Amino acid sequence: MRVLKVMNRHSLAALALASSVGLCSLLLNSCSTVNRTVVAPLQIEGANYAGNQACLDCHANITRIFPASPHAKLHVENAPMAGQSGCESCHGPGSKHIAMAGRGGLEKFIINPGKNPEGCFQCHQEIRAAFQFPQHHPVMEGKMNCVQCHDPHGMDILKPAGGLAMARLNENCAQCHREQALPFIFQHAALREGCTSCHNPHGSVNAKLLTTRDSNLCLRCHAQVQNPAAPGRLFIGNKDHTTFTRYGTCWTAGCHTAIHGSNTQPYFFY
Amino acid sequence: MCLVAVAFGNSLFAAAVDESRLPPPATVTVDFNRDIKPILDESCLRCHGPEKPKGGFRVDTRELALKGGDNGVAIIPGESAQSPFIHYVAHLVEDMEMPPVGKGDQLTTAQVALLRAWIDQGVVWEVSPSTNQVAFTMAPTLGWTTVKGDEHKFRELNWQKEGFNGGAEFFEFYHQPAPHSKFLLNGHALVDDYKIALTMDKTGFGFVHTGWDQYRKYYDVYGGYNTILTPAAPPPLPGDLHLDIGSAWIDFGLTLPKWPRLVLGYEYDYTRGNKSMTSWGAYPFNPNDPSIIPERNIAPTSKNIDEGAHLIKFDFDAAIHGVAIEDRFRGQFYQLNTHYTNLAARGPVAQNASQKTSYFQGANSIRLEKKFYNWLLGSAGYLYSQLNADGNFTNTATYAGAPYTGTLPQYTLERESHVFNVNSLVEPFGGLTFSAGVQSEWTRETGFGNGDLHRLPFTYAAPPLYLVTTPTALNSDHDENSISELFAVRYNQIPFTLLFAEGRLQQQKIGQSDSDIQSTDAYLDNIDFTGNRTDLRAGFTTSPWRTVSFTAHYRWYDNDSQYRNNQPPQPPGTYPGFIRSLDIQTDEVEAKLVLRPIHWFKTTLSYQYLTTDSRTDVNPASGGPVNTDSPGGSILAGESDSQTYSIALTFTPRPRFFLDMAFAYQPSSTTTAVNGAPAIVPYQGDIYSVTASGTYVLNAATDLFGSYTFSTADFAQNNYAAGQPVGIQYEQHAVQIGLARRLGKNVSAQLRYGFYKYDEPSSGGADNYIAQSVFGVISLKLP
Repeated sequence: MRVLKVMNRHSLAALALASSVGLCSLLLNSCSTVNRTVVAPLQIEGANYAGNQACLDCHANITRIFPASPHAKLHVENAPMAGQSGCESCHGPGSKHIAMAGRGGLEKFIINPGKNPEGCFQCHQEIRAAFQFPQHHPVMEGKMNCVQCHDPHGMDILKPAGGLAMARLNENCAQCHREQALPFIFQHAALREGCTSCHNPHGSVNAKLLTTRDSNLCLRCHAQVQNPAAPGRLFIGNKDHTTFTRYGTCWTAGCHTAIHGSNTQPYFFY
Repeated sequence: MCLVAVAFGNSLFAAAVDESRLPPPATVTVDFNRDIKPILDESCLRCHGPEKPKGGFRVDTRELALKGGDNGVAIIPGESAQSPFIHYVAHLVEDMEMPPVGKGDQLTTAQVALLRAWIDQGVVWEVSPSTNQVAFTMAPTLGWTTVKGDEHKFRELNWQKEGFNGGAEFFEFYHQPAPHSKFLLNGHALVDDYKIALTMDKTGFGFVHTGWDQYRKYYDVYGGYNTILTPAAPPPLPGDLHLDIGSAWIDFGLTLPKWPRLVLGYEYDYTRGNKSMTSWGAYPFNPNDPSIIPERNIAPTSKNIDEGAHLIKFDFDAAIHGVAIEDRFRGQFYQLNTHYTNLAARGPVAQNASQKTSYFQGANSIRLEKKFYNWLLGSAGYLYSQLNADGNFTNTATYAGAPYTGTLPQYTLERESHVFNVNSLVEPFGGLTFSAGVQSEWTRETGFGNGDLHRLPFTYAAPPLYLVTTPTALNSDHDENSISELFAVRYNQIPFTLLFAEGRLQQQKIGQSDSDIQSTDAYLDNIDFTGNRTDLRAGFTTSPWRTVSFTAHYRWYDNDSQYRNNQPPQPPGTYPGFIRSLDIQTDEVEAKLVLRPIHWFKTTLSYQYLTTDSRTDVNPASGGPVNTDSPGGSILAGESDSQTYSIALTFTPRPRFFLDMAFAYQPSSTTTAVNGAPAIVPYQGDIYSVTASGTYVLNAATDLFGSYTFSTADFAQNNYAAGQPVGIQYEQHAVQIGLARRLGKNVSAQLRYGFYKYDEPSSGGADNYIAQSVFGVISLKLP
């Protein structure tokens, strides 16, 4: 299998050691009597599912706009599978949270995706995988969270929380990446397509979270009809770029380095 | 029988209450903490506590309970039989039964009798001192990490530094001096990673939230270069490359009942340090003939950043006649200083480019929201934003010991936006919801600058010709109008199933004029841009049995951009403004199946297929010496395809054991029309990733836990003969195992071991590392 092939002996040895320790522990203790139970993600110790109706009482500002949310498509009335639909499918069972209402400290008895991404990962497992790639926003490290960029309850998922309203293009990225979102004298039109046309915001195998690591990233839009009489030559605009592409990629070869925009150069040299 | 007047909403009506149906008051001397508080906590506080009390009635303090709510006085001391509170809890008033049906169990006769006695005995409210008014938690930690190999790469990928680490993994001090006052101080303090947050909250009065956090983002000192290409490897970038990213904030809030919610705040966000760039420099140059351009050898570059933003914020939230009003003002003073260098050792031309930009941006948004009917919710908003910036730029290029300085002493930028937005949510009948929004935006941007500039790429090993600076005038003027529409329809009347369709459309027009005028070279652009974006999605979710849930959707995206070049005469050999149109089209299919055949096992299988085509139409190059080289016309410029297969498994076979595993496989490719240019090869490869985590309760005091993450990608390229093989091949492992043990009622300890391994053959092994870490944590909780 491909995965096993790429793991070398060091990795397999470490994995085998960890597995052995775990199995030995299991064998030694599986017969002993222990009353404690493990709390798996999204479970809350001592809490049960209470149903959506219980949430309506206090969170009307959220529940009244939630039908407009893209996440509303996951709310199937009377879905037989428990915990797979409704508020508690993301926030965990809410009975203890409800019981604490009015007494303070209730936030400790509910899963808040603003602090813990596990609620989001129950469905978005491909995003969890992306956050494990070498380059990623530090969500798993606890320095960022999902709702900084997404509104899970509002009408538009592509903005920070804000209710029944719509996003502006790139505004969730511009909150932090001010340098790239500045106005420039010369702007790269690619920003009209959105930051995600070149970047995978959750995680990537490439530096700067780029979707593609070579000049194909730019040529998706900048390739043009070439002169059939000059095979192997690569023109972009009216410049022969054949030699330039030998130096590296469009932005790494030392030319188009200020690719978000430039105040000195229409070709984005600085 | 008597008549009691009950005010309900804005109407006054008389409700007949049959007091004879009330149970008699209890004959005991009531103890508030023993007899009454449990009833209020269990049956009343959920809705009539300090947070959004129903009907404006609160039972969390005696004063507020006696004050009553929107319906008037509810508790009349000494007169329980006449107190509406008792009538409601005894279910004597229709539509005012408390707790409401479905919101809690009806009080027993004995409980009503106790409440009557409590009121008759004068509503005594002596709260016993809480035993949990002060709590302190502290988790000091100490650890050590060793790295064999590229420690800078380890820092970059794992967001931590090797060597000693320690401090407080978590600390919290909680003080509740009164039932609705809270003082909370928490955070962490580790090497290069700090957070402290202070919350002082008094429900029904206001709050102060303040704090500071900072973390460090590390960068590898090789900047992603490929050592395979450098027979004489260039030195890495000097120093410990990192950015410190932080924020300090203070918010003052006023939350008085019946008043608007007001928040006045200040925030300072900053980013400081040096980061590596993906831009590379040529290396090495030929000392015997610096004019020879080195085509293949590369070296990294770095950039110094000093960015700060002072933010003043004011929030206003109120509800007037059922209209929720939300106003947000933000004033931002921003300053950015950057300094690039390609270092003298990395080519024949050493460049030091400095840029400074500062701006003030004022923005205010106001949004109104109202529920007109049970089936109709509407909102409207308006945003105004104005940004005024100026800056300067200097680049000193040194060649053969002589400096050539290009400067732009001042440039100015302005951006002004007006955004209007109207949205609605309609639920005309059971099971159908329709939401829609329209947003129009007008933005005007202008930029202007005059100076003497090089025509020099940043890390280009330039011949002396490009070092000469020429007087330059820069100008840009963009006038953008766009309208965006958003809609969604959902229908859930099919048993256990929901159908959905949603769309996002945008029509955009931009009048654009850009120019870079100089004597030897010029750029003139005058474009009318129109864009039409369509993003549609439709699908369903169904869960017909307790064991199965399935969701699937199809998405179609198209962005059609048309550029009408009002082409002014271009100087010979310059940019022609060539793109006439660009059409980007995406198809996406996604399906997810969740199976839970038995209560302790759940699996999620998902599949996603994504394909994007980009088609361009360009003018023939004209006006330049090579104008016959590109005939123009329409072409499929690029194709990107990816598929993602994933499976997640969750096991809880025994109450003491939990295991969560996920595997994903993602083949993808991007190919472009490059006319067989040998330096460009398709970007294609596979990504595999595995995550697993588990916990086992070993005994009454001990837990074992562990996790493993693995990912590998193979986008390696083999075009060394023609260019730079800039693909990537790597594999990364991280194993963590640990033991947590309770040492006493308030003390627990944790021991963690971590193993990390990273191999990147495509960098010639320069980035490889193996790391191990050991951490111990003691958690103390007082009292």
